This record gives sequence, C-alpha cells and structure tokens, in this order.
Amino acid sequence: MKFNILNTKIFLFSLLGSFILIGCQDDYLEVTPTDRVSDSAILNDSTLFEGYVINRYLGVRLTDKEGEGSRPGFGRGFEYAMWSSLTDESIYNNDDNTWLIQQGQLAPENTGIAGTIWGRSYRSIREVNYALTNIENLAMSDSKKEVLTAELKFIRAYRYHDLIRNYGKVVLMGDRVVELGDDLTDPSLFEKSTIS
Amino acid sequence: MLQTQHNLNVSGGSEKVNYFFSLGKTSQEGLYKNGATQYDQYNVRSNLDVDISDRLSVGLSLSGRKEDRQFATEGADYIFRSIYRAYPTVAAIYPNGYPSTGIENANPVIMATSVGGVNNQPKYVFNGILKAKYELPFLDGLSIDGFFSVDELSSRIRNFKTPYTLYNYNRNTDDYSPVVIGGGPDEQASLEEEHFSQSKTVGNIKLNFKRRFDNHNIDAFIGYERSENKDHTLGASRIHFPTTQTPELSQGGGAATDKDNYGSSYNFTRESFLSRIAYNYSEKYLAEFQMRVDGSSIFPKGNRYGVFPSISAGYRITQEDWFNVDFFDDLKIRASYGVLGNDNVGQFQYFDNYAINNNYVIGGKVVTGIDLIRLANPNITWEVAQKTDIGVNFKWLDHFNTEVIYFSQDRKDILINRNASIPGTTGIVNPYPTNDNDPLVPSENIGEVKSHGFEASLGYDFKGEGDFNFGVQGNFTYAKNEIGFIDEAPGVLDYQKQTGRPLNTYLLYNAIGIFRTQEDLDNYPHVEGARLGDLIYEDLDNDGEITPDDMYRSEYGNIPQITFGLVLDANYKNFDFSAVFAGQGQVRQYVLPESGTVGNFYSSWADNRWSPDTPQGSYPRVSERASSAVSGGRFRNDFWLRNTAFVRLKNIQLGYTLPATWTDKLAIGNARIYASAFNLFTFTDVEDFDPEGSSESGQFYPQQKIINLGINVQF
Repeated sequence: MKFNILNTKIFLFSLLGSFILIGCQDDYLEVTPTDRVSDSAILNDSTLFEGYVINRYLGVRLTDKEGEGSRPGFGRGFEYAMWSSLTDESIYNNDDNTWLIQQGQLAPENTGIAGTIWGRSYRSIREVNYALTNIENLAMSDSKKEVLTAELKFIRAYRYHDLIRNYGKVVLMGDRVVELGDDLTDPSLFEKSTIS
Repeated sequence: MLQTQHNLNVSGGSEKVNYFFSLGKTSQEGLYKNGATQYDQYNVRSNLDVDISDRLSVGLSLSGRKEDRQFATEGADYIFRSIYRAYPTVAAIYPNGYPSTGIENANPVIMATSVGGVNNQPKYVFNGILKAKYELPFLDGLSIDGFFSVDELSSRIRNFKTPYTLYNYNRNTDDYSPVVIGGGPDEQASLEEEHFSQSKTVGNIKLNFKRRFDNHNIDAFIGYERSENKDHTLGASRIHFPTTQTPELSQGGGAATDKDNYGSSYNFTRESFLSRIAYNYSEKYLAEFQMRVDGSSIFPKGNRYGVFPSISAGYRITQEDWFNVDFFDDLKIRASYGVLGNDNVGQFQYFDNYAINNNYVIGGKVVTGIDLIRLANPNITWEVAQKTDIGVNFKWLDHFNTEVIYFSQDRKDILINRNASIPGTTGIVNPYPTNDNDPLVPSENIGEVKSHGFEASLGYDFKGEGDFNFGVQGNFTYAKNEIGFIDEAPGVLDYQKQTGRPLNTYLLYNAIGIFRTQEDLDNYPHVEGARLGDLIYEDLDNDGEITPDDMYRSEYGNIPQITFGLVLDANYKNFDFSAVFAGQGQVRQYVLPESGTVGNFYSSWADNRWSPDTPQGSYPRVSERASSAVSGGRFRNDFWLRNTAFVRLKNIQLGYTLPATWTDKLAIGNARIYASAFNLFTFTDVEDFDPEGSSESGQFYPQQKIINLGINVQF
C-alpha cells in the first residue's frame, strides 16, 4: 500500500511537471511577428515613418522580367517586351502579358503589360495618401513634417505625371485611401478627368 | 545505382520492462552517371516501456537520425530541363573529350557531376516522447494518460559553386572556343551557407473512461493538447573567391559587396480541447460523438477558435437474431457527419504588415526603407469542411469482402485571395508573385468547393488447405468536385467560367484539325499568322473570326475523377509473390514541350509533323519556338491537352525464404532472397512524358523504373 502511495506521488509530480513543460501562459496563441511591424509601429516611430516615405521613391514590380534585381522607380514598365509588341509590328516570344493585348483580350480587370504603369502608379498614390493622412499626428518637428509632406506630394504628382503621359485621362483620387471593405464598384473609382 | 541498407535491432524485456534498441545505416547513389548525388543516413532508436505498478506505466522513446545529402550545384529541375532540351545533333562530349555547350550553356552531362562544385546538405533529426498512463483507483475504467514530445531538426546547406569550361566547336576553323560558366560572378567561385533549425513540442493530457456494463460498452475521453512550432533560418554568402581551394566564408572576396547575410523566424502555436464518447450495444448498435475546439495563432483574438463536432452511427445487422441469411458473414451499415477546420494560410494577416526593404540609395549609401507588404483582413478565421459519409461493409460467402461508401464534402470559407474584382485605381495592387513575396490582398474566407463521389472495394481471400494462399483486393474511387465560388471577373462567358466546374480545368481553343490545303485556309476562319500545317481552331461562337471568345473550358482538369488500384498476394510453400497496380481516369494534362531553337522536339512530334513533304502528318508544323507558335503556346489549345489516364504496375515482388534446415546450419534466424521491380510497365495513351507528372512543359525528375535483387537476413 505504501508503495502505491509513492507511485501515485511520482505520477502526480510528473503530471505537474508536464503541465509546467506545456506552459501555463494565457496568451499561448498570441505570437509576435519578428519580420514585420504593424501600422501602429509606423505611425508611432518617426524613424520608421521616414523609412516608409523613402521607399515611396520606389515602385512595386508588376511584370515577370522587370527589374532583374533592382526595383522599378518611376516611368519604367517595359523591359524585355516593348511597345511595338502591343501592336502588329512585332510579336514578343516570351509573352509577358503582351499577347492578350494583341489578341484583343484587354479587360478592366486585366490590362496586361499595358497596365504596369497604371497599377504601380495608383499603388504608390495610395501609399502616399496613407502617409499624408497620418503625418499630422506623428511626433516629429514641424519642419521635418513639412519636408516629408513636400516629398510625398512631389512623388504623388510624379505618379500622376506618369499616368497622364501613358494613358491620357486618369482617375483622380485626391487624398483618399481606399480600403478592402469599401465599395469597390463606387463610380468615383472609374471616372476619368482631363486637364483643361 | 547502388543502394545498401544495414540494420541492427535488439529487443527484449521482462514482465514489467520492455526495451528495444536499433541502429541503422542506409546509402544510396543518384540516378546520374558519375553524378555528385549521394545519400547516407544513420539512425538510432531506443524505446523503453516500464510498468511501475499495476496502475502506472511510463514509456520513453528516443530516436535520432543523421541524413547526409550531397547534390550537384544545379538542381534536378534544371538538369532535367537541360536533358529534355538537348539536341540529338550536338554531342554531349566531343571526341577529344571537351564537353559541348548544349542549349544556353547548360550541359546536363556536366551539370550532374561535381565539376561545378558540390552542394552538401547534412541534416540532424531528434525525436523524443515521454508518455505515462495511470489507472485511477476509485473508479474502474477511469484513467489518465498523456505525453510530451519534442522534435528537433537542424539542417545545413553548403553550396560551393566553382566555374568550369565548356566548348563550342567551329566547323570552319576547326577550333574549340572555350566558354567559362558556373561559379559565381566574374568566373570566380562562390559559397552559400544556410542553417535551418526547427523545434516542435506537443503536450497532451487525456482523462479516459472505458468500461463495459453487460452489453453496453462505453469508451470516452476528454483531453487537452498544445503544440508549438519554432523555426529559424540563418544564411550567409560570399562571392569572388580567388581560389577554389578554400571553400570557407572567410576566404572569399574582400569587398564589402562580396558578402551578404540574411535570417528569418517562424513561430506558430495551436491548442485543442478534445472529447469523444463512443457507445455500442453488444457490437450491434454503434454510436460516436466527437467534439474538438481548436485554437490557432494564425487568426486574431475573437476569431481564433473553431468548433468542430462530428457524429457517427453504425448498425451491424448480422448481430440480429432474426437476420439469417447464409450469404452474409458480416453486414454493417454506417453513416457519419463531421466538420473539419483548416488554418494552413500565411500568418499575421489580421493587421497591416510593413517590412523593412533596404533598396533606396541616397548619397551612395543604401538607406533604411519600409514597404507595406500586406493589407489587413481582421475577420480572417478557420476554413471549414463538412463531410458526410454513408457506407456499407459486408463479408460474404466466406472469402469475399466488400465496402461501398458514398461521400460528400462541402468546403466553405476557403481562404483565397480576391483579385479580379479590385480596380487598379484603388491602389490595392498585388506584386508580381515570386517565392519571396505575398500578395498585398490578404486571404479572405470566400472560396467554396463542393465534392462528392463514391469509393468501392472488393476483396477475395483464399486460404488453402495445403501450402497455397491467395488474396486479391481491388478498389475504385470516383470523386467529382465543383467550384462554388472563386473571385472571377464580371462578364466571363458562361462556357469559360471556372465557377460550377471542377478545379484545375483549362481554358483552351478547340483544335479540330490541320490546315492541309490552301482551300482549307481560305474557307475557314483562322488567326493571324496561320499557315499551311497550323492547327485549325474551331469558331465556337460562329462570328467568322477566331477570337478569345472561341476558347472553352475543358471538362476535366488535372485532378483525376477516377482512381483505382489492385493488390495481389500469393504464397506457395517458401515462395511468396505480390503485385500492386494503380491507375487513374477522367483526367487531362496540358503539356507543350519546350521545342524549337530553344530545345529538342519529342520524337512523336518530329516524326509525325506536318511539312510540305509530309502533308499528312498528324502534328502541326514545327517552328522556331513552340511556346510562341500559332499552333503552340500563343493560342493555348487542346491539341496539347493529353488524356493522362493510365494503369501502372507500381510494384511486383517475388521472394523465396530459405528452408529452416539450411539457415539453422548457418546459425542465422531467417533468410529471404527476393527480386522486386517498381514501375515495370504502364498502359497509357501518353507517349512522351510520365502521365503522373503535372508540369506543363513535361520537364521533371521522372519516376524511375527500378529493379532490385536482394537478400534479407535476420540473426
């Protein structure tokens, strides 16, 4: 009988041990990322915010062979495929979304390689607008804010310049930052303006 | 190809203690002649089970493994791509021993060897499980059990690439001009090293109750489980090695730009509350209810937990006294319904993600830059699959067994990315997808796929009076799936929609023949650039021209709707025999080879092509590049959609166990000689590639036809 009590104790101790090993913290499912930060980090740290503004001089890569190691800035959009491959002058043997234009498949949701500058410019405009909307509340000297605001407005203007040069009429977004939950069929997202 | 395997096992024990130890070594060479590929594995295992008292038992198993892999510095994908592309008219090695340049300076005969350096990938794996069970003294049938397990993995990559020379023969000057390739930049060696470590822990504890009251059997538990996964990667590289004699990071080029390093981590946790109660009444009526609540760190607070119940019931009719049909030896009907969850998507999608990307240069220096890499979906939660099964099992006429199951599975809230319905002006634009980035748009619980079908199996067993036994078991599955929702662009034509059709179907032109005469070409609409020998595409909408509206969506995709298998077993005295057949049906795969000036043609195409001299050829004319040809990739068409149905003899084995009278004399326990073969033959319409592949270029490491002769000896 004594032996049995001892065994029970051993078992209970090991049970306790396993609970300790499993761990008892309440926030077991709360994992903190180590390779990314959230929007609040950007908006509460002037160094990170400035880093965000600096990378707005760069654009996102949108086609296959674009960049080859260096990210696009402004204006770029055609590398291996050329404008002539969007007409009947030449056929680009690597496709890269030129054929769908030659074959008349251009659609609002798929503009092929011709949409490279369109998509990249509007993504940048959205990112710039996000910074402009939030710069007021940042802990930063007013003179620094003015410099960054000027830079952001220059980048946005340059993006519109790229758009107008490539597409003519463009949709003006103002300071708007569209979110995924917004009505994405809103006519204001499609109304093109002209410079008069 | 040589493969060796050695194992040493020791086991034994007493009434209270059982032990098992084993040691093993496996070695295998690669498929290539003189190849760099080599695999060595060493493993050790020890199991110990101890009954400490009548009520308490504990067990400990520990196992470790070292896997040494060595590869050529080029991956198998690129080596096989180069094999498929190589011209038959260019020698791999010139008569003087110089290797040729092949297509785009890729000579697979050299790439597979260690001439361009070697890639060493050692890996260490450790596994430990401590488990215990205690039968509680105050109630019969009540027990507690639990385990704690640790899996540790550490793997390294050390890829030292050295430059080497290929030659181009010039017929006119009779010269071999050298081309230096391989290695890193500037014809100098380069080194990449990476260390990956992974740690997984699982803790589990259960309170069980298992007891029988007359004819009532109850088996139930409640439990709790936690698991944690931590990964870490650390890598560094160096280029511009002055010599290939010093494959160490410290011995490379001296410039700051010659060095690079990187690192990343991945942490993931999950916790589950588990429960089950199973009841049966004298094995006649069976019922089971399960409930689990799973929590996952993938999802945000509030959406973290999913509740997944399931219920099943069975009825064994042959247990009824009134059931007296000699035909049936056993007859059981069962049905179940259950809900399962899936959290296998990217982490941290519930808030906007920003990451540091240092690319921008100011004043000659790279400065800190930050990018938005993912937008938030605060509502992200578990994917759900509702499964229903209804089945009948029966054994009949002493030798036969049969099972028929109807199943349906409704998957909803599938986590997929919206794309088509987001206009570009929103600025919510996904980057070009690569291995290192994620879409900007987060996964959303919007996808729906339904599937249903049936499974049937039929077996026959014969136990002979004498020395002959024989068994055969066949199975057949029909499963059809249908997309309920994916984010398709508005205005997609009905016959081109993916919604309502199976997964992985193809959008193609319908090739209805080959333009063989000028009249054909004049009379039937064709795409611009079409010539004699090109494919005729059907004018599906009869508008007199071939436009993208003439494409249709294929009936079958590359997921087979029918799969089947057949297993045969027989033995006679000391001889044994087994065979496994497997196959699939109602399946298609698009394969257009990388042919033209960039690669070789399949012989079926080259031999049967249309040409002015062979106007009856069954394949379209050949051109400079298949991927951009009128009859090739520029107008994706169903000429290249192949029926990949097949029946394959996966495995066949014949063995002979040496008589005990011989083995006793040699003082060995048991010895068996065998011959076995894998993938010995395949019945299929596919001529040029493996029907089990899913590559659209047909280029991949093929399944091997392997013939083994072996001897098993146990001491």
